[in-house]
Amino acid sequence: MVLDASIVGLGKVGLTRDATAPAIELARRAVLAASKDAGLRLDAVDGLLICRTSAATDAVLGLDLQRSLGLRDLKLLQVVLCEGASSISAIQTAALAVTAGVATTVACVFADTPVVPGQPARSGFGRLKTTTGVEGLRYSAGLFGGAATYALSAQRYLAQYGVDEEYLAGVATSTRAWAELSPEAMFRSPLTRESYFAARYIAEPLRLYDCAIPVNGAVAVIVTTRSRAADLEQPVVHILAAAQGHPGLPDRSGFDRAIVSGGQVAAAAMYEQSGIHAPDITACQLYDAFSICPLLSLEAYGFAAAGTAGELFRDGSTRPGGRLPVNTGGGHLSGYYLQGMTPVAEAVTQARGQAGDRQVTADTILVTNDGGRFDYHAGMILGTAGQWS
Amino acid sequence: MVLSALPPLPDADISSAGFFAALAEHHIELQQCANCSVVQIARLTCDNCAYDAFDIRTAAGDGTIYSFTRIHLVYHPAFENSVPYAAGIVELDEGPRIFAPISASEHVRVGARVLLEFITFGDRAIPSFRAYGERR
Repeated sequence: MVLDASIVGLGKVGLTRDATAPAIELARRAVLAASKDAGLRLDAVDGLLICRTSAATDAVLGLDLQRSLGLRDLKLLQVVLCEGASSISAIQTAALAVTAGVATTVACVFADTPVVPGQPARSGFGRLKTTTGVEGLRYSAGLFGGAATYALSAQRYLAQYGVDEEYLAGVATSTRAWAELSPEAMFRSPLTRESYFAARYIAEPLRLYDCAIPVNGAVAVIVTTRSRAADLEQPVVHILAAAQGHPGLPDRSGFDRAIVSGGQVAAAAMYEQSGIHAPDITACQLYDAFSICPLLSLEAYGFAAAGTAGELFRDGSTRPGGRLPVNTGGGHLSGYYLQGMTPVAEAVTQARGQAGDRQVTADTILVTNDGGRFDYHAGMILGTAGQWS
Repeated sequence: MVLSALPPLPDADISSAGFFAALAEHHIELQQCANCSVVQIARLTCDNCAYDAFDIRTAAGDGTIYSFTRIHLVYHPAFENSVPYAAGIVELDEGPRIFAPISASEHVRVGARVLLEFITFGDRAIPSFRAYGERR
């Protein structure tokens, strides 16, 4: 189906490693900022989709956000739980809802406050006593946190395709080159190949710069119909396609759960929906909680054959001035880790032509989210022009 | 690996009660689908054909490293004297894969052959594997 949906508002709050207000308050401020950015009164919002980190509970950020915002008579209200794929999943739901007329103006927000100054982010795992089921054996084995499981994916990928850690280094250094141009990025000093390899391992083969930078903050976007979008404050950014893909592969011989991204399922759906294909896409904002993620995404979406995406990072294609800019705001790796809303925010900024020194040709942008152990995926294509519609 | 405290140990869920009971007796319980013969772990229905009856088998204990990592940070007090330590996903020769600590670090690589061992904690046990070389 053709989506009749545009992103008209973008609000960002926090993006800091200092102490902040609680997540629900950051979320409230981000939705307010997004509606102001769109030139909308807050009471125009009639749908609210709330995303949070998978460890958080309703007490941290839940349906109460409606009352915090003082929103009345909502026609759509959900907490969207799809791990790292929640943000685009929520935006897809919003796009479908406004297309179908279920709601007219939907706010989608993610907020998280993982950083407690003076306390390592991983310290929470020390309180873990029990887990459940066979999957829980990962904790008995000492495989805590996302770094451990994405390290297993990265190690399998390198072995399967006979490539080395230079592939990961290429992702980390390309992403940092963009961060140098991005005022909001947390880490903006140049990252050379040598300093990448000099950094300590976190979980082999992942080193320090293969892992995202947690921040406290919130990002909200507002989705409405194309006709409403045309009357609002900002340059229009259409949602040209959106899809999810969740492989559900068994963990046994004959399946490659560790390195199969749901992007393959989503790509086929999005390309069919829109008639847009990989060669038409001018920039990519790819989920990069860990450096292995963009490699799998570029392959899943047909930009490179399996096991070869690292060449695009190595030959400069993905870097400033390259033919396929990837993660132009510094991504999660060098920018800020707000779980899936980071690539969304950068895509909107680029599509509007508001990216300053790092502006690229951004009329057709791929945006992706990954979650689980590459188990959950959502993607969308954002565009500015009418050439696809 | 000698742990300095009890690591998190999984509670059985509805699909894994038999698996964890067998683990405490130092066996890895496998379920072979009575319809399509696919071997799997801790399932209520077959992940291949959705049939719901299985023949119970015990893993021989031979496998191959599907993937591994060495963890360099202490996330949990149980591992504070162990970093860096190796752990990963082992593919049993019967087919299923399982998370486990891996010992004999010098042999740890993707595709290396491993043998099953167990680490016991009182009346509980978890599987562990010792690497011994390349895939044959």
